[in-house]
Amino acid sequence: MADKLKTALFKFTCCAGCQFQLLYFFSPESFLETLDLLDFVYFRMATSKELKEDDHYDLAFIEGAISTTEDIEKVKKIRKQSDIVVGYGACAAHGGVQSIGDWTPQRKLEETVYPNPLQMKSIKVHPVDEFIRVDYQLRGCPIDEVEFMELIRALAAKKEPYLREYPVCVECKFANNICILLMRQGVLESMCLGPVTRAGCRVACTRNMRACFGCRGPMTNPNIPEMVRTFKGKGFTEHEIFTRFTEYAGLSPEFSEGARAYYERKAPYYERPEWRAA
Amino acid sequence: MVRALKLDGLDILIESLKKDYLVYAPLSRNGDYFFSILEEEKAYLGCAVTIMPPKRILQPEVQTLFNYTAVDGYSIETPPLDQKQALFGIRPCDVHAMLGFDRVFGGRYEDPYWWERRKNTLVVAANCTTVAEECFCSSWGTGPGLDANYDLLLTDLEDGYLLEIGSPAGEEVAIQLDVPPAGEADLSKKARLLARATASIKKVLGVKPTELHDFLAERFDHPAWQPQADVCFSCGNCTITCPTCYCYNIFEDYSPALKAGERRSEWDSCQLLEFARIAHGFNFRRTRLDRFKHRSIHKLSWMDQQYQTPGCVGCGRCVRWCPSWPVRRGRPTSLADPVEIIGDLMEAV
Ligand code: SF4
Ligand code: SF4
Ligand code: SF4
Ligand code: SF4
Ligand code: SF4
Repeated sequence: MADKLKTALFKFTCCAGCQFQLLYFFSPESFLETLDLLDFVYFRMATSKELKEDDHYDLAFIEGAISTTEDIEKVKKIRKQSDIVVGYGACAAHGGVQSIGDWTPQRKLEETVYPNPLQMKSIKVHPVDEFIRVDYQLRGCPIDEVEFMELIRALAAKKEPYLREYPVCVECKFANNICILLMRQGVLESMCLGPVTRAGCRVACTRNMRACFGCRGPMTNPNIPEMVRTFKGKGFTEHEIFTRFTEYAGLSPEFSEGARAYYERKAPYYERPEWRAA
Repeated sequence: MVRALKLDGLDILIESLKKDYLVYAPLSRNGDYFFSILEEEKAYLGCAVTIMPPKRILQPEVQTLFNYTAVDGYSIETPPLDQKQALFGIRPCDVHAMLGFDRVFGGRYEDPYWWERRKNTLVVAANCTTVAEECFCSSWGTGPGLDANYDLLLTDLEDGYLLEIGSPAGEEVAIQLDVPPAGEADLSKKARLLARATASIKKVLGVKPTELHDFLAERFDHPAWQPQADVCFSCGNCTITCPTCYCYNIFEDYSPALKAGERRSEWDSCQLLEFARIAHGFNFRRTRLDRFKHRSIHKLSWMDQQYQTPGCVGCGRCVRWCPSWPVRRGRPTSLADPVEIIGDLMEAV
């Protein structure tokens, strides 16, 4: 067996729920064995080890989205210091929940929340690979422990991990679920993004009769226009469709296409959707 | 003549099966049906195709091929496959699909996993005296009644059940039941009910099965393919729920310390982008059009040419579970529906 991978976990804009998952997962049994392949030299939530300047890492997990200009410098530094960079969780991969704000002018957001917006240094939220090359993405809100294990042991064994590219529907049928997109009517819970969202979550949502809201971002080559048409056919409003596509991964080119479908906008930003205009 | 019995209820048969077999049956959940181990619930015998076909019991979605350990050399262990099991209430179309698997996994290269399970499986089929909206088995001759290839065959006669015995293994179960033989009247009632069921099937394939090969070969470049492919999600629902689709992928689950592992198979689907991808990322069927066409033609023609078994038995699962419903000929239809696909191709260019 190879030496342990010298690992650091960095947190940017997010709820830290994905790193909490590492402390929380107890199963399957081999999960702890997998963690044993990693030597965490920096992991704030779990160890008191301090960050060493100019250290070198075999593996760096970057959790969270990028939302200040200093963040950009920090991730660039991490990239230089690390052999492998893993985008860790939905926020790193696609911006996550806070990326909803990107569809509203930054000034507007700041005025709504802060008494003194001119003090604010934040920029629009971005996924990590907007600024640096990311070698692997662990998607999802939160990440999935089986996928985590697959990635880590593959890296330790120096082979390519088997990360699913196909849509959630495949795993949904494997679980013998009834299709809520087809069978449930008139409720938001039937607005399932499964046909365009990448699998790997083992259908946490549809297993419980909840629509997939796309937390893992787009599958490879999804059919977005057809998804929009399907939602429209089910009678969902423009606002509902927009909201569904932008909840977690609206910044991905694919989902932003779905969100833009109604507004015919060129970029995800700068113009307010109709429903906000009032 | 086949030996036939008349049952008042199913409990006596189920109890008797449970003594020797692990019994799988269509069970209801959230208003739909799925094939699972029959415990306390009631097995459902009305015509409702299960969400997933019963192939999942003989060839599970994800199955362990073998476990290995790599401490002091190698050792390999295959999972036990000799569990005696009964497929209770399997529909005629699904039985035909299973016979298709026998051909695909048989012949020159036998699949030991399939055959071990298959040999230990008792087929307790159920004729369909009522049919669902999506069924079109009569176009293929795969239902709604079954003529052969069962161990036991049930027909709901409304005033009880007809139980026909089709094999020595079936006879072993039947002999334990203390029930009277069926009479002439029961057999003619069965024939009447099945004729009524056949007549009530609304969906008809527009081209005869024997003519499909030429029909599709001539229309390989028909313009109707492209608009169909454009509204396809490539989600794989149509093949994953199909009782005749046999494609699978193999992958490895290994312990982090690389001391032990498990090799697994997992169903695959030609609708998925990565299905035909090979080394260096080259993909034989990169476009949605190629994939959509491949599934349709493989089901309706190539599988028959390859294995002399139809790739579709008319169960209607793909019709039901395809999430894409374009309007064709003035009404919303399931994109994956073979009857509608053929219908599109029948339209003049
Ligand atoms: S419920 Fe959603 S994920 Fe599941 S099959 Fe239907 S569309 Fe796909
Ligand atoms: S079903 Fe969709 S929203 Fe739910 S965990 Fe999976 S990817 Fe995320
Ligand atoms: S192609 Fe559709 S109707 Fe035909 S056997 Fe498969 S799932 Fe059933
Ligand atoms: S239709 Fe596709 S998944 Fe089904 S058997 Fe043919 S190639 Fe395999
Ligand atoms: S035909 Fe329907 S079920 Fe099949 S891949 Fe396309 S959208 Fe999915």
